[in-house]
Amino acid sequence: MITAASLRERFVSGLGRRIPDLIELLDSLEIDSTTVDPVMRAFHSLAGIGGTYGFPDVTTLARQAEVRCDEWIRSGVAPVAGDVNELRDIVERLATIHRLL
Amino acid sequence: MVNFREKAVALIVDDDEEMRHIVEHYVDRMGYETCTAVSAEAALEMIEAAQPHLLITDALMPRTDGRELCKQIKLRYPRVKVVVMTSLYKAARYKSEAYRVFHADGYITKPIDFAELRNVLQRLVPVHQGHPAGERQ
Repeated sequence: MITAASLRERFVSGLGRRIPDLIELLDSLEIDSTTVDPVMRAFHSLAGIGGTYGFPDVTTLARQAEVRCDEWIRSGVAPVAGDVNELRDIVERLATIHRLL
Repeated sequence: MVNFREKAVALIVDDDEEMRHIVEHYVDRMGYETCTAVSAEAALEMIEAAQPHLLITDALMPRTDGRELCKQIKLRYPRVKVVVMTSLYKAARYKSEAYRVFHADGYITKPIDFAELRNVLQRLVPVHQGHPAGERQ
């Protein structure tokens, strides 16, 4: 039987899995600045599920990153190292939320 | 003779496992029979067997995205009601397009407000006894 507790557990476990994936995607983005699309998709998914599972702070942070990626894609301007660090800060804040859950 | 099913069937399509899981959970609790697909391609493969009355799909998916899936479903199975889900951030750009270009019947934003989803689904396919299984084309 699915309960609120099991849904929460599923979200927390999923978030724990996504954080190293995001770090890996940002490592790739730093090497190849044309790989913004998978990074945006990853943050997009997280923005969608955060609030859906009752964690609006996760949505807020993930959406900030999604918006930045979308700006780069739409403007055609590749991100530089400082831009990637901005996303790394967001991932670190997500990791902090995960540790506190 | 029409074969009546006890529950309306909802096919949920999302490439994100956590999203599929929670939408399936709540849609099941709303009284629909549920099945899931991980992609638009998988949904198109299973639609003949699943015979859904409703299709709930994410807009942004790899390869064929949900809006294109919506368009294909409405062309081939016009009686299947399609609800497109997308992030609030994309909503302004996608909402009118989803209705106008892709012929969606409903639209909801993520994060999902399940009361809103219930209202949309009830408007399109009310939960009641006896849904003709062959309702789609």
